[in-house]
Amino acid sequence: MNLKENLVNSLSGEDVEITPVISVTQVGIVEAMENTGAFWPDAHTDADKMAALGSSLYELAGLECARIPFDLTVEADAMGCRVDIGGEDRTPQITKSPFDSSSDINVPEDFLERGRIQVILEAIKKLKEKYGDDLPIIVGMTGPLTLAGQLLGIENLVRYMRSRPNEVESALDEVLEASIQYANAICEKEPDVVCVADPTSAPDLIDPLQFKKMVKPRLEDLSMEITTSKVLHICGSTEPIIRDMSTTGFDGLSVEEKVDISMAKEEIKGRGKTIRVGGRTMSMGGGDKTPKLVGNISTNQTLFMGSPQDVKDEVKSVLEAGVDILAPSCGLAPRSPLANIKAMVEARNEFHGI
Amino acid sequence: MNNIEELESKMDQDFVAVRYNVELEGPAITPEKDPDVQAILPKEEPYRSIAMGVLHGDIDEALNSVKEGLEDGLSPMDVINDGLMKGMDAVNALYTKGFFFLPDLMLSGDAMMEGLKESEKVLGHKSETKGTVVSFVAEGDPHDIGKNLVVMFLRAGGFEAIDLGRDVPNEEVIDAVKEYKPIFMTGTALMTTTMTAFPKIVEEMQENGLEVPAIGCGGGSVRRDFVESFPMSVYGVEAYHTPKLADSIIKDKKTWKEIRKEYSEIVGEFVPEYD
Repeated sequence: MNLKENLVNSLSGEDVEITPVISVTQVGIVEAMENTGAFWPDAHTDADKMAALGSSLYELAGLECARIPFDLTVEADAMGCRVDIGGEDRTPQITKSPFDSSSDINVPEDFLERGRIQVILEAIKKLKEKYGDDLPIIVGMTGPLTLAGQLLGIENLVRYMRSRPNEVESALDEVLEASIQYANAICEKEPDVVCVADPTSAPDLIDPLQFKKMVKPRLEDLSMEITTSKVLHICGSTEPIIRDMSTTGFDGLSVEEKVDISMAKEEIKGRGKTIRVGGRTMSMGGGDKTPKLVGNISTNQTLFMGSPQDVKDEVKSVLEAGVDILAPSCGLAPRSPLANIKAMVEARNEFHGI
Repeated sequence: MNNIEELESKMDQDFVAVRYNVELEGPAITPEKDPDVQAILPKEEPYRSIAMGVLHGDIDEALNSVKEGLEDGLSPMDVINDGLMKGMDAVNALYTKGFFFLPDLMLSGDAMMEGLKESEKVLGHKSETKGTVVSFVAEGDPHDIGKNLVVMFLRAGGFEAIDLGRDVPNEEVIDAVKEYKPIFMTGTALMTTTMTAFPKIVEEMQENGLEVPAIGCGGGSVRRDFVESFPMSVYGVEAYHTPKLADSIIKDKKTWKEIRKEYSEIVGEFVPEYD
């Protein structure tokens, strides 16, 4: 079985002998940039460099995927936000949004032609040409609440969650249209996995009940549009929402180190079987297609600041806790040492006796 | 047709259909019914109404009660300490228990700050501050929700909070230390990539012979181990802990070493990160 089949099978719930070791979150690290010559910020806007850096950790450390892009501003950029493209170890950030309220938000006619969207689509093509059917290609996109927060201003969004929920609802409807267009365009290029990252949905920022009521239905709609394997990534202490995350239709859930894997597994057990009723996905309960847990090697404490031995120890404990797919807990810090990524792969190999 | 009162007496109340979510979740609980909140909320009016306005995150409710109180000749300091602050304490209690979330905290903060401004207008000056604290977001990091909360809690707690903003270059932080000689400093970062500014700032301060009793570092990806890997720093867990840490420096002359050891005691609650 090649790496691609191994990951896709694992996500679709088939038994695999070897736990895949991948990243569904950003993989650009400075050491790899130096090795490949594909540096930030160029790799954000140049498809060749994006493909080179996106597959660099496979080439240099044996990580079992290519993953692009390296930031969460692609959609906001195409919607009309001003973006500071960052530097060698600084991710792009939104500096200004042209939208004051949800009624100003409109998906531009030429949305898919704007910003860097075509760069990402082109990079998927290049990766497919190079790695064909051997290496899984993972493409990240921004979740609806995070995008809405970028457009309205995150602080406004958080306040509106309570003071003007209708404003958030209508912003979500608009951004969902953009997200679906983008998801369709990505899927046309046939990568293997799409990862929707929605960090703003974390209970650290919003009430879990509001996640269920306002965000979950949109994630369900979005996951319906994704024809590849799909993973939902939400940062922070996601225990209070993991049951809801598990019935959004995603094949995998990516969580941070704050989430205890064995507890999370117990929590979502048998909740993956869903039906569509009245335009909504409902859990049947007791089904056998429970989403797979992806994670959750600490990106700051361990992969960034720890030693290779620290990484190995954590990998072992996470695998023992029963993680289905081994991955960093969040986007890699650009100054993370390559040796730590290698250690992550090695520890997985040692665990499986290979 | 019979009217509802007549019908009601004939109904078997145990068999009234209850909407499934009401059955599951129980009747809605208002924040003021919580026993911890009841213990905190003042009994006396208008302090109670002021505190309730803050608790509800309702600017109008809070501001109107503050104005009424001030018109009736209450001392602005009492309005702040016995009304607004009590409301915020109640909000923090619910936040700690996981009943309130960031949106609640921010709206209550807004209501409290409006009430505070109104009281300071009557006071004719900014209320006497206990000391100066400098707050910044690490260089390269644009995420400032945490820092804004810290500044809000500091101001509410009676401190002069110098807000350096977000993405603050390290030199600017050093300059602010020289200029304001703060009794406490707070640095926040959401990203793993930017939190490395903290040890650099400490190093530069030491090279310049500068010292503050403690620098509280916290935010999204920041963890205690990281913060305690360099001197002069204290890992801050919640934004509302900030004024309590600053108080401990002013009142009890605590140093960063002592705060690291006595964090839970100083903030007056169980803090899992310091367990």
